[in-house]
Amino acid sequence: MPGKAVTLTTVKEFASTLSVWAHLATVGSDGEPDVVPVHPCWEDDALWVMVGIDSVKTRNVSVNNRVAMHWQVTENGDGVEVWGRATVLADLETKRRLWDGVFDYDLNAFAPGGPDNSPDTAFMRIDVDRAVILRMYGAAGIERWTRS
Amino acid sequence: MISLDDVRSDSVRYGPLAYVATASRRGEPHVAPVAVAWFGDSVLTFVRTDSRKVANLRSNPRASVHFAVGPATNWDSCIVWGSVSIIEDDASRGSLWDKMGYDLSPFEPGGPTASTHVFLRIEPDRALILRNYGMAGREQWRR
Repeated sequence: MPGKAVTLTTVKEFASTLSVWAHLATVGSDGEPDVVPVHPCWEDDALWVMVGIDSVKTRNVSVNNRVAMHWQVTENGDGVEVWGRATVLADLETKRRLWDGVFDYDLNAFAPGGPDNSPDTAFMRIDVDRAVILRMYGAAGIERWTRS
Repeated sequence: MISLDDVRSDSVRYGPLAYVATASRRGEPHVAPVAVAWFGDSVLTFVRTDSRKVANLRSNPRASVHFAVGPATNWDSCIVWGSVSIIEDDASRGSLWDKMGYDLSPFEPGGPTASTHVFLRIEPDRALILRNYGMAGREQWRR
């Protein structure tokens, strides 16, 4: 389906009006899709997701870095889907930098040890390649962004 | 270990909306919101024939379904994995037309013989329920 071209800034602004929850899809080495809820946050043009180091999504992106993510739709069916490439980072410098100031919720609720004492916790960076804004499931308009 | 009946009972707490993930032949994932309904031991959804998920399922029949999350269900998750059949013959579409729990006519005015929509029948082979992100427990089912 065609759609009006928009900027990534427009995508980010629209996504910020939706639920904080999104559904992240990854694919295993055997082609098995997996979808889980995540609470993503933007840092400039990249998305970050807190992940478990042993989670299925972390294992999946280690063999296939392609991901898709759909924000949970509003009552009238507005939503955003993005596609991109994921990298999982667990180094202390990245964890300390992200722990305060990037996420809009308290990471300590999920990893009480903080960045220095949370060996089971990592962060998934998603570099977005394309996105689509769907209004009323697309019935009221579709807008697209693709990395040039 | 829980039963499929337990999964089905739990899943209705989240409402009729779920997010279905599919993958293309090249391994590109796709995820989209869909309305779902149980039909016996299968999960049904009604989607456009030309949608990405249908194109993906023609080359890779596997899907993962995650029911919507929210505070009303204490951030519990219900996830189902299974193989998908694309139901696109007139007789089968006709037999499933009234099984979704809502009127399909506004979405497909051509009725059950219109080729522009199909049913997806997901036959679960495993499921996982995570209580409060999994911090309050996890329950699994496997066929």
